[in-house]
Amino acid sequence: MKTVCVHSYKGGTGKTTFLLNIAGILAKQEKKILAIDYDLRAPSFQSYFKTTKQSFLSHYLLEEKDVNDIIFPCKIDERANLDLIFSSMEFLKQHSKQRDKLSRDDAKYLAKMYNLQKNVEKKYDFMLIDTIPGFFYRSIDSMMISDIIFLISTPSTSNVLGIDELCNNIYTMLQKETKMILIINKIEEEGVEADKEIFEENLAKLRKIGKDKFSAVVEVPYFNILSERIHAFEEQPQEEFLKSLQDIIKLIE
Amino acid sequence: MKKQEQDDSLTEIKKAREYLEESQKNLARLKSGKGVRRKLRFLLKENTLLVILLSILLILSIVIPVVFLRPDQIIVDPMQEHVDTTINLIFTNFTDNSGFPIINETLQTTSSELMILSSLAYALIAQAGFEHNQEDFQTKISQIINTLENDTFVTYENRSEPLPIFYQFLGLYTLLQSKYVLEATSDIISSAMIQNVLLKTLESYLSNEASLIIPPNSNSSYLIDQVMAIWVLSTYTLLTGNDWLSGYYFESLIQGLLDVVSEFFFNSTTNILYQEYNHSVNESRTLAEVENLIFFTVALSKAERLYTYFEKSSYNIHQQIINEFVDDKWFVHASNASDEEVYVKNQAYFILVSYLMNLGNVGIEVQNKITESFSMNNGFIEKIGEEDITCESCLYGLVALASKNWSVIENQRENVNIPTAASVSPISIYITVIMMLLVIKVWRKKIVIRRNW
Ligand SMILES: Nc1ncnc2c1ncn2[C@@H]1O[C@H](COP(=O)(O)OP(=O)(O)O)[C@@H](O)[C@H]1O
Ligand SMILES: [Mg+2]
Repeated sequence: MKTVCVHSYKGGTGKTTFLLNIAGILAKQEKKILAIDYDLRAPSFQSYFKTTKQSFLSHYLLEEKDVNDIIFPCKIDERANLDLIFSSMEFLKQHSKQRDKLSRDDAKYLAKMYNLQKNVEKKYDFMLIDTIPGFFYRSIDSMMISDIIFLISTPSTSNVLGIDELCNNIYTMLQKETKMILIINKIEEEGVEADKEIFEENLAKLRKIGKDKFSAVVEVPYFNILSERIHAFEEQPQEEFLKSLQDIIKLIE
Repeated sequence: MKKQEQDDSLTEIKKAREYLEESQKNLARLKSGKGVRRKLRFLLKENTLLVILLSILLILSIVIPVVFLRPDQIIVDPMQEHVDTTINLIFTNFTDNSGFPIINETLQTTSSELMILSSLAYALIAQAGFEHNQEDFQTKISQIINTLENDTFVTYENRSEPLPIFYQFLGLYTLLQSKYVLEATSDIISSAMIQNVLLKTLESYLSNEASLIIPPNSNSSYLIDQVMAIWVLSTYTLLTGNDWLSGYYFESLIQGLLDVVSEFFFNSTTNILYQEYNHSVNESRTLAEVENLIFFTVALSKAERLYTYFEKSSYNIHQQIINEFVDDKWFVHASNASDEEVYVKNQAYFILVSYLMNLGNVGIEVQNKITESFSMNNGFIEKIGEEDITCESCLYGLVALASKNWSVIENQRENVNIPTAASVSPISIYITVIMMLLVIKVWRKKIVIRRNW
């Protein structure tokens, strides 16, 4: 089993979009996938998958439930299965004590994630983890147990500055074997009117950082996609978007 | 950046670095498995696993002889009680002197539609492995079929008047299902009889010019009729392995019907399905209600197994039902997710098709909801917000309760060409394999423990 996590400096860069769409494509190829929503700040698997289940990753981390009780199999079609672990904003809001506990500098959670990984290792081909953007203890835990880390950045000024910080302080300290991949996601190209010059300048900076400090760089253009969907299962998927995802998948297979 | 913010982010980064350094040591410790407490806990965990595996073996060794000695294999199900009370209610309150189902306590009459539904419900319950009075069920089913079958299905009041097309096909589906329940003891439903009814139905309702199901002397055709025909023809082909009958070649017939659906009832640019098509003015009318889509999705999923083509997949239509008709509480609404029309009928049929399509994750949610919100006074109510319990609503409840177990059996039957003489051996092979796997697992666990500790 390979463990992959997606991380970024800021929110809204496309972490969840890439993670779940990659999961979808792999599932369609009949790979066994476990996807974990570890973005405790803005959990979002629930907006992709309708569920009434009330067992979340936090239950496992706080030793209230067993691993097997928080994994939910989701059958997307005849052959494609996706196993999911959810987190819930509402639940964390209502249980602020738990939330405080989970944000602490506590080695227990690394051990819990490590045990989870060992526990499911034989069952899956890939374990995919969505994380909180920025310098968070829980995201560091995820990165430490990952074989591959996707860092996703848009060419915005704050993201570019943030990436540099993350590289110098976190990524360089991780194990040498960890494969680091930079995804430059050009969401900003359309949408808000970006200053062309600044955009180009940021892009160049990102490319340089990617070349110097990452094992691979992928650039993804802006796509007019519906959000919160698994595109591989759309009736009329955007082939171009799927192709971009395929390029990324090649890097982890 | 303000000075304060800068300081904050610097301490944040510093803390993160410290945490990471500490974590690296922790992870190394975890990987090498050091720490007496962890070791002990792990060992204990391994041992409980061993205990569980051994007790499963023990239980199996008691269960296996019992399974082998039993004539029928009965699946014990927590829903049994629910089934019992509902059947009881039907037999005491909604059955007339001659054993036919009656509409309700004030309207003491029966109808052909109700009879078809009841034999379908009994056939599913019987196959789902619930305990039931087998003889009673068989008598009731045969009595109903004897009364209704007259080459095609007829009304109870006037035996020469045919039922609506929907019920012609539902009746045929019921025949297919009832055959599995009656087979052993009676020859009421023979393969020849089913073939005859199927043939007569096609002759009566399939138009000569196009592969289109249309009521005789009518200007309009209906989506539900095409869909039911597709469902029944595909099921017949899959269950019997016959794809040809007296000049009708089913696969091309089904493809023809699918083409009709896409030509007359489906607008692919707007993704909208219509209920009716008027051939004199060439116009599609009335948006399809949920019932149409429910039967369409299952019909398509069965047709898909026969290498037919339609521009949308059955999975897609199933998703469309969830998106447009199912609310957050898993209630299936009649015309859109916000109307107030929540009938037990639609819940039951949606559960049935979801399980048939192997979408048990949806089936279970809707089923949980139905047992929670529709069951009342030992029976099932017709509609959310009202308290009417009728024979029909109870029968739909039974269909919902039977779906999960029955669909497994139904799906296994399809395209299984293995001779039935081996009916016992699959169980024994299955159990032997499980035992072997368990033994290997226990054995391997031991080795792993020895190696690690
Ligand atoms: N390449 C892209 N082109 C267009 N929109 C994108 C692209 N990548 C992501 N998005 C959109 O950006 C939004 C934020 O993405 P999301 O995955 O939720 O970010 P995160 O998980 O990092 O917070 C979503 O609406 C998503 O559809
Ligand atoms: Mg996200």
